[in-house]
Amino acid sequence: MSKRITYDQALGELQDIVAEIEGEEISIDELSKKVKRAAELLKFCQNKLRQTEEDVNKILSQFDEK
Amino acid sequence: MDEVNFVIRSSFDQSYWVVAELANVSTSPRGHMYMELVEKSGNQIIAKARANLWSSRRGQIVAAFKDVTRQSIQTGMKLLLQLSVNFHNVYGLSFQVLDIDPAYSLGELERQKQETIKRLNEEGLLDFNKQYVLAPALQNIAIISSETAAGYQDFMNQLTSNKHGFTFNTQLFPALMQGEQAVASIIAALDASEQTKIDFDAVVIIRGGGSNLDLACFDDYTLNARLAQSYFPLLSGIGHERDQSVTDMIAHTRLKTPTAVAEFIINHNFEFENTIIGLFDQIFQTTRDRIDEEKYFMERSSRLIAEYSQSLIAAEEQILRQSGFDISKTSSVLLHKNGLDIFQKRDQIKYLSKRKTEKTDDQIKLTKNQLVRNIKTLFPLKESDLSEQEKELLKINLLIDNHKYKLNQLKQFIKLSNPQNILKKGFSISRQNGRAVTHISHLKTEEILETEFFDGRIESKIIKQKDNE
Repeated sequence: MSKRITYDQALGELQDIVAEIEGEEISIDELSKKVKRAAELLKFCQNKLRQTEEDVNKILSQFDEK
Repeated sequence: MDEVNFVIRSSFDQSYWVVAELANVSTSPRGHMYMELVEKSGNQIIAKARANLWSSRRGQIVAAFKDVTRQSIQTGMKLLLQLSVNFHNVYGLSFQVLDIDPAYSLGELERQKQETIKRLNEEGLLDFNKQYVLAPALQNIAIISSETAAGYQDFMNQLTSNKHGFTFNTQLFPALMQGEQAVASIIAALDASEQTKIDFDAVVIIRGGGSNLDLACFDDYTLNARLAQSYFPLLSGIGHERDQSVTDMIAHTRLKTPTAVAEFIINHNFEFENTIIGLFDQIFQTTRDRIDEEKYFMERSSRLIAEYSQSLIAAEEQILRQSGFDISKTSSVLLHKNGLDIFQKRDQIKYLSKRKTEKTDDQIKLTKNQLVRNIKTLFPLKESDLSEQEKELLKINLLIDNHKYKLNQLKQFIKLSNPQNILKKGFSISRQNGRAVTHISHLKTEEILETEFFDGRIESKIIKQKDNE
């Protein structure tokens, strides 16, 4: 996965894939590829979220200490 | 002189109530008060006289005046005085103050105050300072007060010992807060505060503690016109519970005491801090919510993808199963149909070939019979003859068999008689000069004997002879 992708881009792509799969527009030939991609995007987004959450908590805890 | 004195005494033998403006006032070491009274038409003095308030009366009169007007008797005041006329041979003509009516002065002060308010209002100065929007947090504060005033100390104590730990950057601009010099002094202090490079968040004007005397300067038009146009929002803490000065009216915010001003500033900042804390909480909450929302979406996405992928695969599998079933069904139907044909054909073939065979068999039989018949015709022999011939044939056969047996025996014998076969059994043939030796008597010692074995020959020398016993 490109490292330059933003959370929003990943999210957008993920939403597209979910919609495609949901709409059953995907052929079996593509399915595993799409699911693999979705898993990558999910992992990326979840990591980013976790990172963000940690950062936010860190900032907030700094504020509390004051 | 006595005559002058007499005339004056007889002409002005009573006391008179007179309205006059106090142009000057001074107090002697002995407690007498010397006044200079004037009457003005516009700014023009049209009458002038000296009046004395003897110390014997002064205490009572001044106290009553203060009590009512809450003002000291000051230059510039309009007074209603009860005077008697005196002529002294040494000091000349003078007036003696018997009484001062404080109610008149009070009314006059109030009238002046109302006039000031009216003027300020007309000039748009009454609410001028209120147009300032206070900074969210008040930190740089200019103070106009007297350094020694109790009010200033109260203010500073309250401000610096606040429980929130707020700190302030304060600067005092000292001024006289009462008396005739107060107006000019306060204006000078305000000028000074505006000439620093500090952008003050507010200018605070405070005046000493409990005293409610001599607040008249804060009703002064000149002072209030200037204060209203201060560069900074004006917070006043000069008044007293009971009354409100014009300065209180033109101030951005009016507080009753210096302590109250400090509290106001602290509360204002505390509100700001609360707002910030609130905003921060809001940011925190919103961030949390957002992250939770995104997390939920991720969970939902992964679940959906898993579910739909599986159902998609399941659906395809179903299609495949159906296709497989269809194929096997169709082909079995096809096979069955073809199979029937094949079986039929096989049976047909079987049947046909059987018939053919039978037919051929019959034909063969027929031919055979015919042949037999023909032979019989060709060799018309009787049954008996046949048997006779057969017997003869049998005899011949026996003979032949007998000979065959004999031949075989011979063959066997011949086979056994082959020296080669005898040699195989361990016998050997001794020869001398190419002839087989059958008796040892023909042999002598030291002669060469050739012996033949099954697989080769040897030559040996005879050493000894032994006869069979």
